[in-house]
Amino acid sequence: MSGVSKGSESLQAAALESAPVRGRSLMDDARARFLANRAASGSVVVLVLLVLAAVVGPAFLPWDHETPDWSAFRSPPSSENGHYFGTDQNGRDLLARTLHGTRVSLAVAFVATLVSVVIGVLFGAIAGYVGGRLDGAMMRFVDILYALPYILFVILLMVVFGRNVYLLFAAIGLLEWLTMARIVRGQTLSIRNREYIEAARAAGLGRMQIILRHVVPNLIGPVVIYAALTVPEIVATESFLSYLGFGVQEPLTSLGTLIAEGTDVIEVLPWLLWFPGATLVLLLLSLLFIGDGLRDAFDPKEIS
Amino acid sequence: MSTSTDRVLDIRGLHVRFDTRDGEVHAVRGVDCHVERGECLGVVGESGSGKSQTFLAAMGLLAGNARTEGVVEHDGQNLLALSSAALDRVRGDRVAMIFQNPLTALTPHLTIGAQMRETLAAHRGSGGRKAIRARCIDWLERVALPEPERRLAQYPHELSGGMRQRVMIAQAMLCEPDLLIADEPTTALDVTIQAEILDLMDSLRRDTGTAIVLVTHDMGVVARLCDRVQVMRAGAYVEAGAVDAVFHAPAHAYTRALLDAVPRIDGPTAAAPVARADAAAVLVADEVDVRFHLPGALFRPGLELRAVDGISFSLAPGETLGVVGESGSGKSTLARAVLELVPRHAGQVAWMGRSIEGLAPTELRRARRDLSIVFQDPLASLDPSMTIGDSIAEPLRIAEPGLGRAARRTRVRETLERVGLEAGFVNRYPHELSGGQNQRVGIARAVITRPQVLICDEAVSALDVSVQAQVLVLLAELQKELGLAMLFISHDLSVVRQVSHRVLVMYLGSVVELAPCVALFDDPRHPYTRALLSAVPLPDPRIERGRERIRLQGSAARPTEAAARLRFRPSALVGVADGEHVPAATLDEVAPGHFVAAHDALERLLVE
Repeated sequence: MSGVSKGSESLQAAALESAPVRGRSLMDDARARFLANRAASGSVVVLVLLVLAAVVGPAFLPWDHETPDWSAFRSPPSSENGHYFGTDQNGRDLLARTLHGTRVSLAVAFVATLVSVVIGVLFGAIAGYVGGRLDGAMMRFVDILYALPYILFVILLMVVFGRNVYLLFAAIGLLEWLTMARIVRGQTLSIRNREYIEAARAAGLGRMQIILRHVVPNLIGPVVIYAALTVPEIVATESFLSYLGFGVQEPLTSLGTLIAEGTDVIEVLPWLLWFPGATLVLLLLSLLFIGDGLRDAFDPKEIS
Repeated sequence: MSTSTDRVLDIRGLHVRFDTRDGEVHAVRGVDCHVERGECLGVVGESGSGKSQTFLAAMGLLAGNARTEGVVEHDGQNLLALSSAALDRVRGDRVAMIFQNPLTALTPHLTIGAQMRETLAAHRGSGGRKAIRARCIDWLERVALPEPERRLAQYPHELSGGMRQRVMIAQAMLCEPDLLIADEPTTALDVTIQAEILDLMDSLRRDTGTAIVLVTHDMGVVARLCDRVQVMRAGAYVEAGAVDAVFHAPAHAYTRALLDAVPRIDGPTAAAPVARADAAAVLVADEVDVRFHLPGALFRPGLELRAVDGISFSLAPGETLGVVGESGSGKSTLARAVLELVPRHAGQVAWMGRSIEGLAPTELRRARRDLSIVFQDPLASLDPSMTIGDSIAEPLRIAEPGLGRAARRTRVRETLERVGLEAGFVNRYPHELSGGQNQRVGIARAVITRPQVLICDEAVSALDVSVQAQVLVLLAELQKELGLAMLFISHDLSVVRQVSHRVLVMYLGSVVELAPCVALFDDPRHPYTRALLSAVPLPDPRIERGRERIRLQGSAARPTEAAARLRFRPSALVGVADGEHVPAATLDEVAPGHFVAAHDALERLLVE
């Protein structure tokens, strides 16, 4: 027996309680797992490059997205005339237009996601925490909105208010929050029975204080994951709406609009489809991989 | 000394290491141990001592990041060197295992019969349906499960915890193994059920000659069942020997300290309350009644469960009232009802002599500063996204909103130091702390508003013995300093005896006995109290072997049935329809301050 000779130790010293526990937060764990996921961390690099290119790229280009180059109509991609992605029927540089379109698509996606997160989290947390009849009424409201055909709803808004980029942001965000609200409500139902919520009630906190101080901060994991998966969905939706002609208006452009225009001339000017299409695919794939990586990183089952 | 052929398991120089992101954890450090045919070996130690890992390693059940070294010999084979296919032939056949939680250890979507047949099919091949069925029924009978034939077609969730553990044992014993490894087999069970399971394991060992390894933290369980004991600490054995020798003449200081730290049901009781007897009660509950509605189905009406059925008590300043009862007795619901955390159906509650009836919500919230609660699970009761400092400061923000940021921070640091933690902990998060440290944080949060009433809901039940002893000392000190009145809820009668001045025994939502602590433990009157007390294992093998247990008929498994509610008054059961409400038994004062619920004579209630 190895330990018998150790002599007299008091139980206080023996208690493992005094052993210092090295701090490692849930966030640290999640970050480590995320970085270990090559597809996800590679996608972050791709996304950062895309965002940088979309935001600062146009400043370094001699062309902008709306001015025609009178010397180069319908130019295929070429390094000689400086139109690396070629030009369209009106002589506008496709690289400048693609970067501009990426910027618009990303802006739509982030604004709409933000709207959906704020509304969805508050709505879901209140419904889940208060429960009872209020919960029933709030969730039936969500169900009714769910039942309305999504695209029809957007088209109706467009018809009533006219084509407007800002309205598009709001409309998409106002519909996307439904799923977020459901996810958050489900999480809240499990959180509200935890002992720390009871401790907060015993300390005398009011309902809203408990929701804002104890429920919402503990929802971060699922909300971050779902938001990351919402972004590509919204980019795709925006592209779809623009393709249908309900999106942004000329001379502004988005990836969806560019692809729609490219599709019309696929036989004669194929580069007008390939470059915006490839950018969209790259953007969506990297966002999806990031969302998947976040989901795995925050999944409690992965925490050993 | 025995020869090696008598040994069913021989562990030599076993090391277990885990690769984790924080580096290598050396969980088992060179352990030697053997089990002889037909004996019962107890392995005790606190959490993290490696006692379970030793035997999980022997069974090849360690997590994927573990590495082992050494020899585990069974029947001439080194189990550590076997292929997994060869190990599968040994596991469940020659060496079987039962686990702590019988609900999660049984597969929920398979019937009891299907799970038992699976074990037999794996090791005995096909022996004909009839023969297999007969063998299963035979074993269910041997573990004293009522109506074994019906059980075969039932699913795990249809059985109570004790019944499930019996099924686990029957399944483990199906192939009559040489060795049964039981990892905390009774920790999740109530004390009376625990006593039955321990008796069952003991009789099976005598009948079949199967050796048992009992891995546990409970010294009383070891004293009841084991021949030899090994005390484990930090991955190594510190002491080994016959139970009598280890319990009565421990050689190692750690064993001595461990034995001293265990609260005993025949140990000392709390000192007399510091309170003035004439002082007004700080907490009064009058006929408190809490009901839960159990929803029905389309053609089945819902049921009403009376979780607390008209309980009255009062708590004087400085006094500790212990509340004991088995799971489902409503003791935690009672605590939440007097704190106004669950709605009361009827009855009155007064805080500091003032009825809380009709208090406005804001007034009620302000009044909460005089009452606090400490929960069972130290980690779950702290918000994981908040620092320790923020959690402790929270009640103060509500109770004294006028306090400045700096003053609040000072109070938090003072309180942290008072509960025995460094002030530097304010910026740490709960998961960075050990269970005992987190429980100290929970206590700091509860006392920072300098309340007059502290409710401890199983506050030390999840802690190791040594940590539990320290937390009990801390609670006693705080009680003296602040003149706290305490409602101490626990299923552990030994702990309740150590801290309480008066004790209230609950059964299915009503009081069966309420008495001064000494009177209750030395002169229990109600049959249920006597059965509970006789079931508590004592960490003393000599006394434990000669002790008679009181076994009562019936169970509390179906709390809505009249038979369960009238378990101690079967004479009143005549003519009562199922589901009909039975009023709680009246309390008689048999001695000053000693109340006992009406019941039939003990002889009528005993198991024949």
